Amino acid sequence: MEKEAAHPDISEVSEALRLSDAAAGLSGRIDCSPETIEKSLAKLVLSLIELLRQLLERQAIRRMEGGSLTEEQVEQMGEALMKLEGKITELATHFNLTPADLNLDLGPLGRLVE
Amino acid sequence: MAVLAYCITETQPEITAPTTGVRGTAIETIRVQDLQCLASQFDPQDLVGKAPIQESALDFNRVLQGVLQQIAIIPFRFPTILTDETALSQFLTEHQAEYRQTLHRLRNCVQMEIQLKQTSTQPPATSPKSGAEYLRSRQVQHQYIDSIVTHFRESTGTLAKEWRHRETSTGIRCFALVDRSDVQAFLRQMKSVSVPIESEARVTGPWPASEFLKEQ
Repeated sequence: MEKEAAHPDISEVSEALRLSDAAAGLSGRIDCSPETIEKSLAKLVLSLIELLRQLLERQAIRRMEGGSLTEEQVEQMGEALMKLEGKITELATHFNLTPADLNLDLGPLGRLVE
Repeated sequence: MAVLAYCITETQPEITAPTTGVRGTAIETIRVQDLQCLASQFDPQDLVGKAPIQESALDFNRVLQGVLQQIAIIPFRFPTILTDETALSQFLTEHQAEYRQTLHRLRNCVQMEIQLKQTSTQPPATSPKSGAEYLRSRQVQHQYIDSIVTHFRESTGTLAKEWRHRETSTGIRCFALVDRSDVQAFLRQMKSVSVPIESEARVTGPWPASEFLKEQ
């Protein structure tokens, strides 16, 4: 596999310097125009839910590895997380959003989910 | 007039700052004791439209790289805009102790980045049939990522003074804090590292040590 140092293009500059979405040529704002309000709000809500899902998943794995969960609890948590992931994907597809869209630019704090 | 802030550095007489910044504006230096901040006059109208934004971002990066080649910097996020030079000076005065300490700690250091991306578009062979199976598959995935990160980290040997990483939606981003005199050695070292199947690695840098501004 190729690994090399290269002159940066805009995507690398954006990543490395944590530029805002605006700098990368994307809109980081919630678009409240009548035509896109549903999709914009869906992006906002689904991004927050996806963040929570990832946090819950990490916590569940930590507890599973720590041995503090019974088999029944592992099954219940896993099932809940699996269904949640499926539902997020389903809703994102409905609003024509990709997994990469489920993120928010928080200005100086960077991205919501990384 | 509003000003666009680029970066903060220690004041060193031998440092030569670029003369022009975003959209060809003149770079100005605002000094507070032994620290200095580079800035330029800024009209927000200059950032209307995708092409001007991208060009400006590259201009901004050019200024940072010009200074980074000479000295450690604390970069501002693009675009960080303050009302005027007085506001920027006040900001620098308020945070000078923190910046001074950080620049001293990062002196002679740069950040190298390794982006690991999965190239496979194949979906998993089988979907989990139970909750427990799902959770364990995610556990295995996390362990796999950890093992790759460990592999890369160990491959850097003593060249990486500090290391950070985080998962992204497309892979992993690893950051190594490297002495600027070790950059070429780091790049050579990384070329010899084997990358997992269906993955690709890209090493970029040197960058400002943005990921290491806060001590862990």
